[in-house]
Amino acid sequence: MSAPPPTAVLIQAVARSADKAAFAQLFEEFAPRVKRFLLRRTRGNENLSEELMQETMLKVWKKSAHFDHTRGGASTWIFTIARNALIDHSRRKRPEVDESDPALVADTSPRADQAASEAERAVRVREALAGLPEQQSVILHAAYFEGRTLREISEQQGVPLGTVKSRVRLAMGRLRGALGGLAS
Amino acid sequence: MMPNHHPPAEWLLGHASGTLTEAEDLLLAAHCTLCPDCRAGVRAQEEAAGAALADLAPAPVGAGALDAILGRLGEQEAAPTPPAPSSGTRVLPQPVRDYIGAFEALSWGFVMPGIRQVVLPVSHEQMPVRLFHLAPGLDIPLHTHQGLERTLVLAGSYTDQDGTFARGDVGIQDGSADHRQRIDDGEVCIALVVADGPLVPRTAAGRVISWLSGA
Repeated sequence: MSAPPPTAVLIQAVARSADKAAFAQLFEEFAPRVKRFLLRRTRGNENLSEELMQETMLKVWKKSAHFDHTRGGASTWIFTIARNALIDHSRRKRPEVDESDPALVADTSPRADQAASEAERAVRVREALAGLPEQQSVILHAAYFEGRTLREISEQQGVPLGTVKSRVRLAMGRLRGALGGLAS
Repeated sequence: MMPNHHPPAEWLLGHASGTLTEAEDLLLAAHCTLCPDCRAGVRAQEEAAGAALADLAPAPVGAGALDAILGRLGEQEAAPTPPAPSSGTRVLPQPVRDYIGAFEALSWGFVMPGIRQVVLPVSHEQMPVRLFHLAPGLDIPLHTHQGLERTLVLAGSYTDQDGTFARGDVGIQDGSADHRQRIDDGEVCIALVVADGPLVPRTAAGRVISWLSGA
């Protein structure tokens, strides 16, 4: 087992000993980026973005004991918390997989992408993103950060919907290939 | 057994990005419960989004934001909603049980001979979500759809022009083609169906379905 990377150590310090100094470091690193993410998703709504940023960082503190660095990096975990805050703000239910569901079909074929350490995965996924053709990466960024649907992206870019879909499929294959998973 | 028919990559991207409708999220979460491969796909998109988040330019945060958060640490969490029952058979994945409870306790509404349904209370949306109970050997009457119809099989199987669909499989039928599904012999088919709009039946029997189901 490799040592968990520094941000994961900070989250563990918050979880284990309610370490406010560690939390302040996490805040300094992530709060401004979460705020930027929320500003883009809310089309520049400053008050809402500040509110949801604080909500997100509060959850980082409160859920720190649930952070599992073997299941993904700190920034991935924080991204999902911020995304969930946005969905919850829209006052709808948020259906998601429950890992403890008796109906869950476990992955019986261990894949390289699950064996790779979190730090390795973060490096690989970053490289894969940077290596994507721009016409693929702009679609992913429009979905992550603008919250665009493919139909909106298709209209915005003047590219047929089918083409946008196949670019997503190619990008997914590249990401999963980089993580060592099945590039299907 | 792993599913053979998967949702397209853009659904996994949409689930990871939080851009799907509640109805689509529900069907996808139910599929991902049964499909480790698509769970890994969603995870890959979340990891990519996380990496991209770390590279975003910082935005100014409120001057007292950190202190405001530290001042709220003692706040009581909202009481967690009691978990839906997980006893009995494992027909329904948890995301579905969260809406309608255990499979054994469902009260099915009659639609027509061979077809019963439960409507899921998905909030403010134009996408009705229904769980269907379909008799073995049944031919679903010809109909076309307004927009897409997405089906997740949870028990039994059906066959159409795209092949045979069993537990965990997702079928997508668009409005461009007439679509005929036959429920395979031997076992009741339980299917979660998300439609863009009401069914537009082509036959008298189909019109009866539409009328009875309130579509």
